Formats: sequence, C-alpha cells, structure tokens
Amino acid sequence: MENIIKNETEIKQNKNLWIKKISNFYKNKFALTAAIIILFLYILVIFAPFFAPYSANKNFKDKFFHPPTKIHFWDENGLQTPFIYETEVQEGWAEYNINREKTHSLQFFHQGEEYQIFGLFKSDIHLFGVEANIPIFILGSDNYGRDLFTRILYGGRVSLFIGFFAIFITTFIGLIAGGISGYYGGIIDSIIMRAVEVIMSIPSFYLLLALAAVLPLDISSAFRFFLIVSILAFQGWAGMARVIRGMVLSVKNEDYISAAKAIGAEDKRIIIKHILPATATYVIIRATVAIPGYIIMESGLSFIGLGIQEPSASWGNMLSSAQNITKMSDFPWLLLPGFFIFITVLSYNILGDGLRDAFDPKS
Amino acid sequence: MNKKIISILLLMIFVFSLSTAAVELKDPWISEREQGNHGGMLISTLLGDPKTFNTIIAKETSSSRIIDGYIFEGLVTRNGITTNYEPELAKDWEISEDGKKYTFYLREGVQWSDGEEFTADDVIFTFDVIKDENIPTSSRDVLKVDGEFPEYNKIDKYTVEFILPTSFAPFLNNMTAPIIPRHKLHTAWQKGEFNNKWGINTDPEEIVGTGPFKLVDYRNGERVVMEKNEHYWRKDPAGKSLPYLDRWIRIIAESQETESLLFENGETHFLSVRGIDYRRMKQQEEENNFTLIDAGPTFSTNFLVFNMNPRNPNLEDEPYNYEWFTNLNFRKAVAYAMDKDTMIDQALAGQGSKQWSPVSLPNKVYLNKDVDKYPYNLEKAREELKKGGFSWSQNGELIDSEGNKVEFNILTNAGNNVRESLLNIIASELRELGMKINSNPVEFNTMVSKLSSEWDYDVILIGLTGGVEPHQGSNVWMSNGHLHMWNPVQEEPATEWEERLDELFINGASTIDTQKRKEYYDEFQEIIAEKLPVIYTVTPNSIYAVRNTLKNTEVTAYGGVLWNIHELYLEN
Repeated sequence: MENIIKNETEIKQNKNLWIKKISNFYKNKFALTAAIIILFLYILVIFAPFFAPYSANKNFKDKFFHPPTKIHFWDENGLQTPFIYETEVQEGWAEYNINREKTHSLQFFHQGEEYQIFGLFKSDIHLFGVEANIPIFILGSDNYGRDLFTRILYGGRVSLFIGFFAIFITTFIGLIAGGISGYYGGIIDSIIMRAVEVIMSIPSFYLLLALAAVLPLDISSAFRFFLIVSILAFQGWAGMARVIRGMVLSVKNEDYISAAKAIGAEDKRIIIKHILPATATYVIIRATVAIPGYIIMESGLSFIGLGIQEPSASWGNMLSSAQNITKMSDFPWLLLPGFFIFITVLSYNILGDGLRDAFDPKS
Repeated sequence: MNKKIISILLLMIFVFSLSTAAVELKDPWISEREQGNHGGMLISTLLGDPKTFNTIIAKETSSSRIIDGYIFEGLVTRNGITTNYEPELAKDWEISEDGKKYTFYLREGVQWSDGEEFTADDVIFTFDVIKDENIPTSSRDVLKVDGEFPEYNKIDKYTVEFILPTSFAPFLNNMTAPIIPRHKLHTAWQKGEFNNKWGINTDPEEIVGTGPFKLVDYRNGERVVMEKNEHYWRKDPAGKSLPYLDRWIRIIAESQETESLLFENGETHFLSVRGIDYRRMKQQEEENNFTLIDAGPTFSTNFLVFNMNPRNPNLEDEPYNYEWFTNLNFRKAVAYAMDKDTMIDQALAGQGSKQWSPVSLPNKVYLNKDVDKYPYNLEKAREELKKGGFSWSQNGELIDSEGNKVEFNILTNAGNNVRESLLNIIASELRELGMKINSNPVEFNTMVSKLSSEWDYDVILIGLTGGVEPHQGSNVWMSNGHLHMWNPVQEEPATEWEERLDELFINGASTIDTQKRKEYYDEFQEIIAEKLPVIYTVTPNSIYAVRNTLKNTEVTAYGGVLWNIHELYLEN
C-alpha cells in the first residue's frame, strides 16, 4: 500500500516536472515563434495538394521563367475581390505582356485537378485558383513552366521529412545500441563501441557520394528518397549511441536501478522503463538540432545531382537548377527554395536552443 | 696571313649563304585580310587541363584543342568558312585518275619553331610513328583503307606520295593529321620512349611545331601561355611574318560560369556564350565593348537511341522491350512526341535549331534537307501507336498487344544541363502518351559503357559531334561499327535497310566525285529519317561574344573565333 502511494506521488512529481519544463518553453517567445513557423510549414507541405493550385508536374509549356503573378485588390472602381491579369507570350524569349483588358478574379476553394492525401481522401478543391485555367504563379515559374509555389510545397515534403525520418531511425538504433552497450558493459560494450568507432570514422560525405552513385537506375523517386534517408541514418546513429552509453553508465549505478534489480525486474524493463527515460531530454534536444543538418545534407546531395532527381522536387534540386548567373540575375525567384531552407533551418536551430534552455535539469 | 683571313672570310660567306639558303621561304602564304598591328596579347579561357602535348597520342579534346592547329599543323586543312580543303604544309597536291595515288608537294623553306627546316622526312617520320603498333593513337585506324595502312614514300626533299589499296575519297580528310618534327622525336621513337615524350611536364622549349605559336609556359589548373613563332610561314600583306599577336594566354577555368564572369570583367577577349546567357550578354554589349555573333547551328547533335540489340542481357527478364523498340510504329510515335519548339525554348533558351537528319546542320556540302520530318503532334503519335498494336488501359496506361505495360528507362549523362532538360521534356511528353518513363541522369562513363559494351540500357539520350566528312560516321552507321549504337558490331546486317546503309557508306568512300558522293549520303540520311534507329532533337546555336578590339575575326560554327588566329590582331 505504501509503495503504491509513493509511486503515485512520484508520478505526480514527474508530471509536474514536465509541465514545468513545457511552461518554461512557453515563456520563451522566440522559440515559440520558431515552433509555430515549423508547424505551419509542416501543415503546408503535408496538405500540399490542397494549398498548391496545381499538381507538382503540371507545366504551362509556353510560360517558362514567368515572373510572380501580381495579385491586385484595387481597380478604378475601388476595392475588389482579389484578381489577376492574364499574361501573353511576347516575341522575345521568356518575356511576357500583361493583358490589362480583362480581369480574372481569384477563386478560393477552387475546383481544379483531383488529388489524394495519404491515399485516403480524394478531393479536387484547392485553396485558390483562377477561373478558366488561367495560370497563376504566386512565386513565379521555373524553366519548364511549372509553378514554383506548388513545387516548393511538394519539394518541402522531401526536404522536411527527410530529416524527420532520418532522426527517427538514428534515435531508434542509437538508443538501443547505446542502452545495451552501457547497461551490460563488458564484451558486448566493447563490440558495439568498436563498431561505433568504425562507423564514425567513415568520411560521411564521400560515403554518401559513393552510395548515391551506385543506386540502381530504375527505382522510383520515393524509393530513392527512402534509400537516402537510410543512408543518412546509418551514418548518424553512431554518435548518438556513444552519448547514450555514457548516460546509461552514469545512471545504472543509481539507487533506483539497484532497487529495480533487487525487486527482480527484467533487464529489458529496466532499460526501457528506468534508464532510457533519463536520456529523454538529451534525445529531444539532439533531434531538433540534428534535423536541420539533414535538411542541409539533402539539399547538398540534390544540389550536386545525387539526391532527389527530376521531375520530383526537393528544395535542394530546385536550388541546383538555379545555378547560373543569368538565372539568378534575371529570374531571382528561382532562389526562393533557398529561402525556405534558410527559414526552416533557422527555426529548427532556435527551437532546439529554446528546448535546451527549457529542459536543462540544472536550471 | 692574308691568305688565312681571306680563306676565313670566304668560309664565313659560304656558311652564311648556306644558312640563308636554308631559311628562305619559297612559298609563303600571304594574308588577304586588312593589315593589322603587330604585337599585343590575346587572353582567352579553356575548360580543363591538357593531359599531354604529344599530339599523336592525345586522346582528349582537352589536349588536342590546345595544340592542334596552333602548335602543330597538317599537310592540308579545311577552310574555317567554306570548310573546303586548303593547302597548309603542303602547297599543293595531286590525285591520280584512279583515286589511289596522292602526291603532296610541300611548302619549301618552312621552319620548325626552333629554326630547323621542315621537309618530307618529317612527314615520313610522322606516318612511321602512326603506323607503329606500339603507339596508342586513334589516327592509325582512321588512316586504314580496307584494313590496310596506305603505302607512303618520299619522292624528294619536298614531295611525298601515298598509295592506297583502293580509291578512298575521305583520305584527304585524314591528311589534316598534325605533322611532328623528326629531329626532336626520332631518337626517342627508336628507343621505344615515344609515348613518354612531351607530357605536360616537358620543358616548353622542347616542344617544337610549325604552327603560328609555340608553348612557353604551362601551369596545371592555371594557364597555358604561348608566344608567336618567329619562323611562321604565313605573312601579312606587308610581307612580315604572322601571327600579329605576340602572346596568347589561355586561362584554365573551372566552369562555364567562371569563363563568362572572366569575360564580363573584361579579362578575356572572346567567349562561347550559352543560350541561357544570351539575353543577359546582349544587354551588356555596348557597355562592355563586345559584339555577340550568332554563327548558326553547331556540329553537335542530341538524339535518342533505342536498344534494338538482341544480345541485351536484360531481355531475359523483359523480352517485350525488344519488341517495342524494334517496332517502327513505336519509334515513329516517339518521333512525333518530340516537342522541338519547347526544347529550343526551354533547354536552349531560344537559341537553337531543329535537327532531322544525321548529318550536322552546318554541313553545307552533304546535308539533305529533304528527309522525312515528324513535327510535334501527339494525335499522330497515338495513331502510330495504334497501328503498332498498342492500346490504352482504363487508367490511360499504354499497353502492348500482349498486355504488358509500356515502361522503360531513359538515361543521359549527368551534369549536362541541356541534355537533362531535353530528357525532362521528352519524358513528360512520353508520359502524356501513357508510357511510364524513368528518366535518369547518370555518370558519363557509366552511360558510355552501357552503350558500347554492356548493352543493357533501354533508351539513351546522347550526342555526337559531327564533321564535314560524312565517312567519319562510318563506325556509327555501318552495321559492324563499334558505335552502331542500337545494335553494335553485327556480323551480318540485321535488317535490309542496315545492309543498304553499309553499301552506301562503302560506295560513298570509294567515289571521288563529290556530287556522286552526295547522292549516296542523301539516301543514307533518308533511310535514317525513315527508319528512325535514332531520333534527333535539337542543336544549340554557336554564339560567340567577341571584344570589339579583336580585329579580322570572321566567326563560324565550324572554326569558331580562332580558325584564323594568325590573322587576328588587337587594336591599340
């Protein structure tokens, strides 16, 4: 009976501790803003088919390098519902005339191409669109006449989730390997730690180059994406496992572990229930700090042509297609994917800092 | 005493007259362009380092474009504008009635850049080296006629003759091969050390040619520096030795971006402009004092090739691939799906031309403009597919007569932006037709080994650079050729039309008369356009930006800016 009561108060204390940590975080307005931006980006890309006016590969052949479409709110009669003017192809290359004779109003919840989200529900309603299939490029179009905004949203799916999946795999392997290694010690520890050292000593970028170069040719982009994630994760777990092992080593001699052992709890239970939770703070912080690293790595790989391949989009390969002085000077909107990478990475870093401040047990 | 002095004087006069006799150039070439200023330094850029200065064993264009024509010259050359043959080291030549004997009369008194005289011995030496099986040179196979190396003899100091086993019209084209100096290389060749001579670490003094320039410095990854050859045999209208330029520096640039930045900063004198940069460069013309020159389509080509090789190792798993690709209606459908206007707009930034025939567009002599064309039309493509026994599933997927879904890979070499864009445009059109296309840029060497030795690809988008002489393509178009890409090294021609191609190439080579040759090559072009073993796409235009201070230029697609480098001069 006494035991149970003690247990309950412990749980309560534990809960209080987490609530305290979270409220600490809420006080940090800067980090909170970053978290909201990230959340917003994820929502945008998850529901990309809804937010984007077109499908990822819809191209308007004659409207390549089209500048961002201006959305007008005023005409000579005063305030109007938002509308745009249609553009016409001019004689010169990639030059467009605005036809001011007729206005085309922007329609919200516009009926367009049919799409599926998660293969679950079908719809053809897009957040916005223009009547009569007149193209609207709110962030301009690329060299195939594809809407850049649409592709940024679809490309974000790759760029934002690659870090997410990678960190998930990394954490999973790292926790298990580090936990086992630290808890059992001895020969198992030696074997795992030597393996970790071997993996850590592989020069990661060159490994990626080599692996990306030997990927089979006829795999789909989704599978290629999965492979790159696995490669990234395979590289990343070693460092994690090492730190976890250290933490486990220091925790395993605590009284409560001895107590659990004395009661006769299984090793598995002790590792999962009592030891690993002690590392939770570290894992959360590390994850938020590592994700931007993966995002940048993916853009790097795509930038040198080894990551996600056309026609699939990722922020990295969109940016790499803008690698030309003319494109940068005449069609600067092609650099927008870089801006999105910048915002995401910055937000993640601020968020990671905020979380560290909030969760730091010493504060 | 007096006698002694007189005899010494006499000796000196004798020696002097001997040496002047040696340097007297009997057949100079006189420039017909306006007289320019001597002096000045030309600066241009190069992409990539040379691997060797030994022109006989140079395999890569990164080596040969540095030396050939500038340091080394051939017996004959092609005019940069007309592309007709012109005398170079040979002042004239004769072809016997039966087309088997070629006699070359060398320019008398031409000197190597170290002052030694150029004679028939050098020519004989050059062909001795090329003929030597221990020398890794591609020129040997090119020179062979009917599998036999031609016989060559020195008639006198200034005359050589070549005797061929049969009449062979493209032979003169091979006589553009650069001639090397016997006095510098003969000993090394005798000792079997020829292949190590004139590597990139050689003392520039050692490298001796007859061309307008001589090498003075090469720094790996930085620059190649050349100086005027004082002994050059071409003269300006005033009778002074050409070239006008004293020095020529070629900066080795890492990328085309660097090249164009260097030009825009005013550091170089000319630039090959990519289509995408055309508009931006046009805006700078006045401000930066240069002129953009559009020299029309280049000799390069971009085409799709289908694997029609029954020895394709993938056929065990996917035998239907072979059925599709050998189906003429299928290939015609693909040809109709080539949206060349969009390709020119999007991949070449509006600066390109459509290609329909296997002969390069700027080839004025042999291009047949009247071949079958397949203007972009998806409806016609669908009709062709129907004729070929294909149909569409309910989801719009294309299926063949046996119910297999049509799915294949198209490869191209990664890093070539133009080709990657073409691939994207082609793939997106073919997807419209219901095909499932996996489009993949792969590393260049991977692609080449698939194409030439492993034969395990489906479709490849690749390009070849054509020339003026159609016979140069014989190993592509003849059925036993190594580069007969769709079905290489055949023992017997697989189809009737391939047999006909073989005949046409054999006849074309053995006929001397250009008009008659043209008839053969016209038919060859018609066959390729009709049977479509390869499908041509678009060709970029060659555009150069040339600084206005560089005079006497006449830019062409064939010769670029530099074909008459000996006549170019810089305004003060």
